Amino acid sequence: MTDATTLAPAPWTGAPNCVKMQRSMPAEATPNREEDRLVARLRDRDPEVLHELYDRFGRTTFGFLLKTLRDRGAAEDVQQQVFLEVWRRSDSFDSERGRLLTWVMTIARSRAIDHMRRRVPEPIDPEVAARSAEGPSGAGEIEALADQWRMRALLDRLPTAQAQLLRLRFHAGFSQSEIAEREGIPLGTVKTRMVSGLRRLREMIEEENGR
Amino acid sequence: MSETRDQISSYLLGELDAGEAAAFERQVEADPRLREEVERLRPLVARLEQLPAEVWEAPQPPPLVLPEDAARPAPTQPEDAARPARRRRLRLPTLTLRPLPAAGLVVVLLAVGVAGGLLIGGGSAGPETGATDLVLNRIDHGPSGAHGDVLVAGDRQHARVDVSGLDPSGSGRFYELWLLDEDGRMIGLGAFRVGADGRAEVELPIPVTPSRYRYFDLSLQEDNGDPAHSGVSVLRGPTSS
Repeated sequence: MTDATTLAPAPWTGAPNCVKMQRSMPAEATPNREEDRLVARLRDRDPEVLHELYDRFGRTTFGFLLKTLRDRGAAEDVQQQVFLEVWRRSDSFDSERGRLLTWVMTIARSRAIDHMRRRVPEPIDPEVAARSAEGPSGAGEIEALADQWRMRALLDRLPTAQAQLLRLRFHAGFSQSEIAEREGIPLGTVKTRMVSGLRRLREMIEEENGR
Repeated sequence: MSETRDQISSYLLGELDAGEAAAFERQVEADPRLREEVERLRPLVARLEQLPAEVWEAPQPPPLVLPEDAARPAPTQPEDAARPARRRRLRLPTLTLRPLPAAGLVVVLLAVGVAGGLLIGGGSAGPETGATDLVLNRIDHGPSGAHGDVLVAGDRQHARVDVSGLDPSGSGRFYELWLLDEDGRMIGLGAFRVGADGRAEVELPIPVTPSRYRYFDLSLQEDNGDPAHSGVSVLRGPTSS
């Protein structure tokens, strides 16, 4: 992929004021280039990049694996397998086919399914195994979980103020008025940041989906 | 427009009263761009509202273990540069013993070992001297009410297995007891059938040291000539009490 392709803005179908916002925020137009640099370093076998990728995606993949496998030991093992595969298979990453997050999560999903399908049972504690029987059973459920955790990774990439706002609203359950009071910022600012955060998140999802 | 923009979040988050919501919806109907904007964000809001708490409270992942070919030698030790890269390991402090204190320590360790052995043997000892009674609990495919005991003889060379509450093995199936270790290695100890009463009591030889493995595992096997574990575990329990 060339830089020109990478930097080309995603097709825009939204309101014109959003186009203006996108262009006025260069910091948000650079993730593709940053991702390309990470991939280039990965292919150059720069070990430090593995730490950067782990910082960026490790929490997401581990959360997904823990929820899917329902066994911390197994999740830790598979987590290491996932990043070993990221390291070993960096040549197979094709940025034309998807973003880095999608690729890493695809590996995590595949390894989780492998683990669950493994014919030889894992030597796990019976109590843990009993709980694992209540875990996701079908590929559809696993995909839904992976989708939730991809969302988590995208939330992590939002500007801090927007991410915090979304967390307060959708996790803590505060209304916008309550957030304004709690954070000591005008209600109008809360609403503006809320919409900006949602728009940015929407754009990132569309970028991940290749739209 | 700015005021309308601010209304988007309030509308999507359900924070407008009925009158305000109706007025906003009229604006949405009249403005295709606003409508498009609202429709783009609506499913996202729904997804965020359904995001489980555990996703927001993502756990800390374990430290990354670098693959061997990614671990670099320490830069301050040039002589290491010629050596192949190794997996990073935690360095444990080296214990250096002097002869006399060491002899004392050996005595202490032996005493602790004997006492520990007595505790392990005595804490769950069966009728046989030094025997260890271990419990197997239902797992995965085990029927509710399934239960088992493994009485490992004092010589650790055979075990009496007592199971109940299992489905009858019938024809074409049988149960097999295994030892599993941490790496997923396993060894089959023996096979038996379970009758209509769901019970069986058998004695099986143990050709290895049970403590080298972590669990006893009872599987339901198909009589198809495949010697591997079927993957259908019904009971499992630790090899130590």
